[in-house]
Amino acid sequence: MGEFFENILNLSYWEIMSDLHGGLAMISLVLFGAVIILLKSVDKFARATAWLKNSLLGLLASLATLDFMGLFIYRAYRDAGPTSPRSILKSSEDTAWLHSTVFEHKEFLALVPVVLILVATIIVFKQNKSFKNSTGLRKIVLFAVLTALFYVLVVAAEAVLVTKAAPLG
Amino acid sequence: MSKANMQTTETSGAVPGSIAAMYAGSASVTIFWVLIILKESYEGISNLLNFYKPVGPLLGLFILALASFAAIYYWAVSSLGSAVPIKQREHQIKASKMFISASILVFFMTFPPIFDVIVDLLKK
Repeated sequence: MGEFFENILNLSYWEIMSDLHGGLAMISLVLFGAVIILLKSVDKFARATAWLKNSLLGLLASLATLDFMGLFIYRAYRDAGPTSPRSILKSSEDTAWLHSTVFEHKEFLALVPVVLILVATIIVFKQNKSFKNSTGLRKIVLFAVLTALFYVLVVAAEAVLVTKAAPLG
Repeated sequence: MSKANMQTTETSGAVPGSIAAMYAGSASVTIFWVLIILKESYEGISNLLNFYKPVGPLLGLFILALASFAAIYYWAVSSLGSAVPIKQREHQIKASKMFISASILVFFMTFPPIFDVIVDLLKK
């Protein structure tokens, strides 16, 4: 037990930040689940739209925080220094594609779920009580949420590929 | 509830704010991938976006995409506010189609092997 706490407390600042980043990503997945269920239930019980609004706000906050933290946590992968993960990946032909293709796509695609969930949140808030009767907009919000979820999963998978080949620490 | 009433409640139209959000989302993700291509093609644009060196041009790209969302949203809300209901219905359909297309297109246009083709053409 002592060894566990000693090692946990000895983790570097960036290791702790990347762990928190991973934890926050898990929370966003839970919120995605809640939003999808609530979207399917807006006409089933009275408080569903209110709960949907709160879940969407939580999801938007978690995704925006994930992006903001990611900009700083993954900066080592953009650093051209000789011992940086970027240089390690680029030094071998076998791993160079992980940086030039997978990492670049992961970095760019990460913003898109935030925009999609922002659109979904604005629609639900602006429609308010009429949202449950707006069939077309319910479909658009479901599309935005499912597409954002798919993109988050792609970004996570790409991050795993990159960090496995060249760890942050 | 009469059949006519049921139809009315089933087809509540979008308020201007919802339509504006779809237009702004479509424009924002499109501006985002266009800026990526311009950043990769021209060093001057990359330097312009790189106003915080430790993070690189990515921060500039994110900020510009979100700022364009806000600008287009407010412009669209003010334009749609005065539109007649029939026009708003047309805008809702148009904005929905644009939002779906732009959301899918951005996945491919942020993938380096795809946007590099355009970058190579611009660099020539």
